[in-house]
Amino acid sequence: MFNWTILFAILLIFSNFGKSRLTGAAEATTGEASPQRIVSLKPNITEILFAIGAGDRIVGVTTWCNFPPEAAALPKVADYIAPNVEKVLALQPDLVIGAQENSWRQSIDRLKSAGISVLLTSFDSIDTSFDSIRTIGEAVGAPTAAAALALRLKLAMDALTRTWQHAPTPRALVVVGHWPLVAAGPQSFIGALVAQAGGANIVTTRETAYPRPAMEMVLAKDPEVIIDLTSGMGESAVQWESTFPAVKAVQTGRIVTLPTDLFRPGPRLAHALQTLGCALHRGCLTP
Amino acid sequence: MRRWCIINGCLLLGVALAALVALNLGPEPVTVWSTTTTQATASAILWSARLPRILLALVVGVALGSAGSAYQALLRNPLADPYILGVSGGAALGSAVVVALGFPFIVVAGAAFAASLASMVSIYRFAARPGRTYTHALLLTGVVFNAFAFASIMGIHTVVPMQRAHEILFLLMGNLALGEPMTTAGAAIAVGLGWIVLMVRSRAMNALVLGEETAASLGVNCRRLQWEVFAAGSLMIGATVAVSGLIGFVGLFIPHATRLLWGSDHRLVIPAAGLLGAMFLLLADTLARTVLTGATYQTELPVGVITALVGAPCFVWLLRKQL
Repeated sequence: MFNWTILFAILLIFSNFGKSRLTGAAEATTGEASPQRIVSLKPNITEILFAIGAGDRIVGVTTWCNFPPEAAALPKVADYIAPNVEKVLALQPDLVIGAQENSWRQSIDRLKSAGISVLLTSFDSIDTSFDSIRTIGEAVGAPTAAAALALRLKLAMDALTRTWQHAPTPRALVVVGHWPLVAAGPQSFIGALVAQAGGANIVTTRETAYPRPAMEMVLAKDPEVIIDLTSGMGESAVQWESTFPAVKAVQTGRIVTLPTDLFRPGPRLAHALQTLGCALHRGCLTP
Repeated sequence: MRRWCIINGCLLLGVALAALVALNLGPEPVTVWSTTTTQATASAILWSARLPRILLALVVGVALGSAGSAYQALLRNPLADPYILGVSGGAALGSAVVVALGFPFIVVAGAAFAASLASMVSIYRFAARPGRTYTHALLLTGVVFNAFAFASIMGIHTVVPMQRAHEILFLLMGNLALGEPMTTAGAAIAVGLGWIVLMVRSRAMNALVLGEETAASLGVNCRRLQWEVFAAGSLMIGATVAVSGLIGFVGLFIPHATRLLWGSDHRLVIPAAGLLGAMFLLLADTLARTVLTGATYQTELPVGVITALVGAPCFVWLLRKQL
C-alpha cells in the first residue's frame, strides 16, 4: 500500500540530518559581526544551533538540553521556563536566543535592560518553526546552512506525508500526561505532526491544545493506536491494560511509547515525523 | 431510632438515585437502556468508566462529610473543615514527598495518613486551649499551615522530573478521574474503618460538645476520645487525599447543612453527613465530567473547582454568622 521505494529513497537522502556542521562553520567564521558567545534558552534552539554549525559558539544552555550529546556538557543557565539572569550575565553572551511562547518575560526584560541582545523566536507550528530556523541562522551568521536545514526538513516531511497519504488513517490518541489523562489535541505541536503523519486524532477540539479527555470519550472513539509520551523514555506511566481493556489499541497491543525529547521543533523534526508515522502505520521500516 | 432509620434510609435512597442518574449521564449518549453504541463499548463506558468513578466519589464524599462533622464536634467549631484547617494540605504535602521519591501507592496513602494526623494534632495544639477553641486562632493556623504546605509542595514540584511534577499538581487540583479499582477499594477500607470508629464514638461526641467538664462528669475520657477521633478522621482524610487530591469545602458545609436540617445529635449527624456528602460530591463530579466534555472543549474539569465554587460562598456566610 505504501510506496516503499520513495520512503527508502528519502531515508537514504536525508539520513544525514544535522551533519552539515562543516559548511555552517565555514560560513560563520567569514561573518564579520556574527555573535561568538551564544546562550540558548530552549532545547530545540540548542539542537538547531548545533545543526547549522554554530554549536561551538554556544556558551550556555538549559537543564533540558541533552542533544546532541555535547550540548549536555555545556554550562546550564536556564530551566524550561526561566533563565537564571545572573548566570547568563556572567557568561557575557553577545546573543541570547529564546522562544516567544514560553520564555519568562521578566527575565528576558532584565537581560535586555542589561544590554544583552535577545532574539525571541516562535515555534507554535511546523511552518513557523521553519521560519524560526532561518531567523536563527541569520542572527548567528549562518543563513545558508539554516535555510538549507529548513528546506531539507520541509522536503523530507512533505515527502513522508506523501508516502502516507493513501494509507488508511488510523484513529489515534496521543497521551502526554497521566493521572489524570492529558491528551495532545490538533492545536498542539505534536497534534500537528500526527495530522501530517496521516493519523486521525480522536481529540478534535480547537479550544485547548492539551485537553483532559473523558475516559468514556476514549472508549467511545476507540483509538486504534495509542502514542504514549507520558514517560521521557522506556516504560509507559499509564497502566493501559487495567484502565482501558476494551480499547482496540490495547487489545491489539498497539501502544507505542515514544521519547518526548524527539518531538522538538528542531533538526530532528523529520525523524520525529517518521517515527510517529511508523507508529501510526503498522509495519513500517525502522530507521 | 425510628427517625434515624427514616432519615438515613431516605438519604441512602437519594444516594442510590444520584448514582443511577450519574451512571446515565456523560459526554457519550450511553445509558443503561441505550442501544445506540455497540454492546461492548457501551458496557465498557458504563461499567469501567462511569461506575468506578461513581464509587470513588461516594467513598470520598462519605469521608469528607463524616470526618468534617467529627472535626467540628471535637473542636466545637462549625468552621472546622479538613481543607480549611490545613489537614488536607498536610496530607497532600506528605503524599507529595512520597510521590516525588517514586514510592508505590500504598506508601503514598500511608504517608498521607501520617501527615494528616500530624497536622491535625499540631494545629489543635496551637489553636485550642483547654475548655475552648478560638475561631480566629484556628482559622489563622489553618491558613498559615496551608500556605506552608503549598509552598513546600511547589518547592518539591520544581525539583522533580516532569512526570512526577504532573502527579503532584494533580494532588492540588482535586480530581476523581482514573480511579483504579484497587485504589478505590483500598480507600474504601480505610474510610470504612475510620467511619466505624466515628460511629462508635458518636454518643461521646455529643457529650464533648457540651464542654469537657460536662463530658468528663458523664464518664467520657476526653483525651482518649480526641485521639481516637483525630486518628479516625486523619485516616479517612489521608486516604481520600491520596486517591483524589485536595477537594475543598465539602467537609465544611455538608455537616453544617446536616445539623441545620436534622439537629446536632452526632449519632445521626455522622452517618447523615456522610451520605449527604456522598450525594453532593457525586453530583459535583457528574457536573465536572460533563460540563466541558462536549465537542467544543473535550476536556474535564477538576471536581475541586466545582466544590470550591459552591463551598467558598458557604464559608463566608458561616463566618459572618459566627463572628
